[in-house]
Amino acid sequence: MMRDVERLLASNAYGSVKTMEIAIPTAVSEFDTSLLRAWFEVWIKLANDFRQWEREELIEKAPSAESLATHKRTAATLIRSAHLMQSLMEDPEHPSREFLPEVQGKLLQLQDTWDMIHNPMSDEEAGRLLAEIFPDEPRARGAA
Amino acid sequence: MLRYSLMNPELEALLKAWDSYQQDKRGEEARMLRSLYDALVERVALAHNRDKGTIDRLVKHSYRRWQQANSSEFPKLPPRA
Repeated sequence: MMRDVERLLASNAYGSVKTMEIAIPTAVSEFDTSLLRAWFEVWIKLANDFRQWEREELIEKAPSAESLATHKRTAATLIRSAHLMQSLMEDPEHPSREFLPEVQGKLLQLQDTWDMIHNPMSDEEAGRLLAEIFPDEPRARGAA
Repeated sequence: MLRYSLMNPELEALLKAWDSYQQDKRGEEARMLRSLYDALVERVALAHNRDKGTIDRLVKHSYRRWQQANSSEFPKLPPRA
């Protein structure tokens, strides 16, 4: 690969070098958009897969200690990376601002679900509050 | 573990609002759906003279129990032999 580049450079006439000089600024001007777009696409796929797993393993059933630990670690990574993307996209002149609403929405969901899973109200407090606030219907009681 | 035999309509509305927000797949409408949920939380908190944070935490707690009860209500069929 490196030899190909060297051979190309050695054989280039002035005109070809000039072409490169024109091409490089165009590529660089699109670099940040391409980078963020690729990052966004990978991130959104991972976030969706993660949220699907989260729903199946931690919301629809009582989670194992291992699932809770995995969730805590992975959600933290997704939340931190979403903050990074958000800060880049919040630049009013940034060309990737089109992705901002989706990143902000996913970030909000990830943070709220984190809170729901890792900072829950105790069963005792919930039972007491349900009886006080909604005394007529939801029967919250200890299960066997 | 808590479980619910009957659903209070006010609590059910809160859980459904939270569920709509949680289930937004693309994330673009998540902030709007979160605002609708927040408005409902505020209304219930005012009606019962509680702070919003308490109602919010109660909904989050109840949501997982609600989902677990719903998902176990109709067990999946085992694969055919």
